Amino acid sequence: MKNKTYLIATSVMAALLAISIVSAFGVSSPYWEGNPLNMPRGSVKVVNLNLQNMVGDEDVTIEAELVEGEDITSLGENRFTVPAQTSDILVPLEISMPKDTSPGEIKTVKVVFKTVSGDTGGIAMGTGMTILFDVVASEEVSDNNTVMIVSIVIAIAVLLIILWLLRKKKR
Amino acid sequence: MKKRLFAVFFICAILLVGLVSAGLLDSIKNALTGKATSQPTNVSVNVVGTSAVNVSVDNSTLTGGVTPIESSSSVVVTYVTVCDPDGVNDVNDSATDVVFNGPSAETRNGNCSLVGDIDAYCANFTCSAEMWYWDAAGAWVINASGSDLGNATNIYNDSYNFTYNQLKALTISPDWLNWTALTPGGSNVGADNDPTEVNNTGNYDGTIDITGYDLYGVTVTSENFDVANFTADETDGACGAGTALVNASVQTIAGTDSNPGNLSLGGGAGQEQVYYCIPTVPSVSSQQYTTDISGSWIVAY
Repeated sequence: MKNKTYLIATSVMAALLAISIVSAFGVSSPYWEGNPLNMPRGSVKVVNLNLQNMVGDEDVTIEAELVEGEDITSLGENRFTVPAQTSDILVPLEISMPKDTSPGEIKTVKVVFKTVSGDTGGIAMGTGMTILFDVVASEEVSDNNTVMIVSIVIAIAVLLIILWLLRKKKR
Repeated sequence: MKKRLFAVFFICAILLVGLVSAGLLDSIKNALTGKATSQPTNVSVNVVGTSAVNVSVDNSTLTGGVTPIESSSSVVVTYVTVCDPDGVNDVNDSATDVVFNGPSAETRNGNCSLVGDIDAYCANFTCSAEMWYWDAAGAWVINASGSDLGNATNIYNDSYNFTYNQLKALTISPDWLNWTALTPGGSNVGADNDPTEVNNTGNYDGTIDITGYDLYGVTVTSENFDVANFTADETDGACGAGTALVNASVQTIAGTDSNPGNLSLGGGAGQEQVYYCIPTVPSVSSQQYTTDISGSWIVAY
């Protein structure tokens, strides 16, 4: 029996049986793979992810890590406590689409959430969720507005010149 | 004499008026002529319009999408306006209805109730439908309908929609794994307490990922049990056929399916199982190994 490798002693197993047998939480997102976020170049948008803990009877501590899209995304906090029976803890992601991005260019945002568990004395299992979505760059809205404003100014100027010429001719 | 005559005439006149107002003279007349008795009757005429209604939807309250609630339902509310060129009184208040049509042909039936008249032609209705955690993420079409009393044709409008957001949520049970005793060189040893029951309490439709970490000795903490010795599989079949775990790396477990559905129905809806196995027990020192140092293995969507 000397070379037997005990992963978990029977006594520890009994203790483990007494602990919670359900580990749970949820993350909701308005964007996901196949449902991208379209953003004009040079714009900033806050996307709220939603943490939920509706199944368990205990509060859950969740760790968030931004693993992709750090160049356009900022995640304020990275540790969240979600009280039991709640579904309204928001995780704001501030996404900035750079001005020098080409229209149609795709950036990917990936945030990994996982439960934080303490020492259990065995092979502990936690739960996790990966939120992943594309951000597609579109034309700057401000460009269109500028073109429209310039067009209106030119049109008014032309109208004024015509009116001035007509008046001059009458005199 | 004249005074007496006038008094008699006056009394007779009063009696005659009483008889006329009671309809007695008519009765006598009808009895003599055989004609039916007539009396005043209230007559009402209900005029209805012939034009069909126009139905529009206000989905502005659903901008940003609807967030599903883990293992529960949420009520989705929208507003429907029904207008009738023949006037708001011609709108059939009990005929307004909504049905939400999902991206995978699912339907959720709603109920509408009159909020009030907007003006002389239009009435506003509030419509709601209950949506569940397993309902598919994506664009849901709001199919609103209304009718009127005169034309009675149901007019439909399905040009508005809303997004039902994705909800990744799961529960696992048990939340620990155990191999009571292993002998180095042993083969195809399954966990004592698998499978891990993975219940989908959201609407994610995809595979299950597992991130494993090396185990470390409790007595000699510098010694480890490599997580690459473990496999995970959706069946309890051949040990070696499972997906090998990699230290601190997300591994998609081949063949798994989050299988979104109504968990309370049973029969496997919303459920998946994961089995664990050690194809070949490595030669390591005899002691207890745990995840206390490295951290929990993560079951994820």
